[in-house]
Amino acid sequence: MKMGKIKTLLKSGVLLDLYFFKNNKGNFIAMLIWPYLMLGLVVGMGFLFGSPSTFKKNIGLNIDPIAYFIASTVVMMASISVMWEVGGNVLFLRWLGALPYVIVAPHRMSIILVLSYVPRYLFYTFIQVVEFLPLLVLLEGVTAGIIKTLIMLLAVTVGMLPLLGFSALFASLLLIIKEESNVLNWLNPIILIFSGALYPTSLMPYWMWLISRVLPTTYTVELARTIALIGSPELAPIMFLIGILMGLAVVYNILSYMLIGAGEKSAMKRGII
Amino acid sequence: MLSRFKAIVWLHFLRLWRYRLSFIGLTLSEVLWILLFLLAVLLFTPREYLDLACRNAFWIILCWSLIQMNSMIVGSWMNFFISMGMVEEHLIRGISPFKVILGRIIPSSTVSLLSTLLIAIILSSTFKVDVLLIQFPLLVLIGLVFIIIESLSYGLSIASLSIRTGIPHNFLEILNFMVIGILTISVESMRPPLSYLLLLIPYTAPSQLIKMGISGREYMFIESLTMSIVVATVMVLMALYLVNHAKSWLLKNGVRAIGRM
Repeated sequence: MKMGKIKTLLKSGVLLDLYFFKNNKGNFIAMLIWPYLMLGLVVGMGFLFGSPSTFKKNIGLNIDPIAYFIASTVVMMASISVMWEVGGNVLFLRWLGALPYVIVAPHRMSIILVLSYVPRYLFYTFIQVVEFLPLLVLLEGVTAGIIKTLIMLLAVTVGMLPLLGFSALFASLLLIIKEESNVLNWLNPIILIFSGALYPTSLMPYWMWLISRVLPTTYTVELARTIALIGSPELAPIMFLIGILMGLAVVYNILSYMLIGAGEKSAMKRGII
Repeated sequence: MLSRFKAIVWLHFLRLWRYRLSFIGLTLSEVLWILLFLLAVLLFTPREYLDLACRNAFWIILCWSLIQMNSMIVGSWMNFFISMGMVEEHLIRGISPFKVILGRIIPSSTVSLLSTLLIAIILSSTFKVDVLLIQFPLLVLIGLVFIIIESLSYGLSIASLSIRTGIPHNFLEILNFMVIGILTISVESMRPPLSYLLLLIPYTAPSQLIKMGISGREYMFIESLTMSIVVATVMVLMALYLVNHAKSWLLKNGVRAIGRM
């Protein structure tokens, strides 16, 4: 694919979001409030029914529960966004009646789904990570707060690469199956549960732990969660997790590139687009 | 009158059956989301209090599920109803579209009931906690009835407001999330007059009745019951006023469906 075409797709993605925020200020404000509400719900109810010391004892690590759930919230928001915006975009395009146009466009559908979404993802996650900066600075001090925010940004950016392929895989599945919105509705929370988004995978039964190992979100959560460890985060586990995410990115993106064509063909054959 | 009522009930049962996969999907996703948060909350709880925390958290989340379902399934259905052109159809035939919307209590309570049962089964098999073990079932039932009345009134109010303006889903969800915060605040931790003020907030007094029913410990029972009746009456009256206002506005100005989403 030519560089100019990629640039056009990225530019269309950026403009789409800028105008979306310009015309939907209410949505923009809701987007800013939402992560704090999720964090407040879990931490507030947790403190009501227990204590941070019990939390540390149950997890088995010396970690700060608020930083732990900040990382969880950020990754959860990012994963939900990718799954709905890349995987679910096929549905929206179908409902709008624009899916046939996207399919007959000169670019491969998987490329359109992924590239037009990348600017939105980076934009949204950047805002959502940075909006926790004041809280992290309050908890950890200025330097540690900034370093931990940067680690979270790194986690959601690197974590995006395999997740894009993973979601495009689901997009191809959604082209093939019926009742697709039902599938996507429960797929999101189930993936988040298996990834240990709020409840760590180390406390799960072995079979759940095994499934968690093939999900890219598991490693994104683990990478983001290094900020919750009390003291300076170590470089070695961070590099190790980045390595795994890169490997998964290659696997899932190749798979999605191969399978989305099959999804398109199946959808066209059955006349469901 | 009775035949119209029967038609509305039949419509919602028929839709519930035809869209059974959607409703099962909704139930499943509801259960998974609740479990996701519940598991996180239980990480803070010492093992010896797991039983109590599990039961309390379960009932708070159940109340929230009822409120959320009634406001989302009832309240936000008006957008769909208008888009399908069904409001005019019903107005012409002399049937209030709001009565049809109110019938959405059938799918919303079905989804809530199914998700509650599923969560109770999962919790009892995973944590060996019987969340349905309650001291005064009647109190819990009264609390739940008030929660349903208040949330339905809220749903109807939203539906009538959405005749004139689009209601963004994000805001509905945010409001519902805030409700959980209110439900978790303990009335016992506050002294009068602050505790009275807290009971005046919608859903708080009925949730206090439910908490009493679970623990078997009475605290401000008369006050909670009175406030539940007062708040529910105010919310019902407000919903009726908004519905009547929206109906007369509709008859004067017609339905505006284009460009409102």
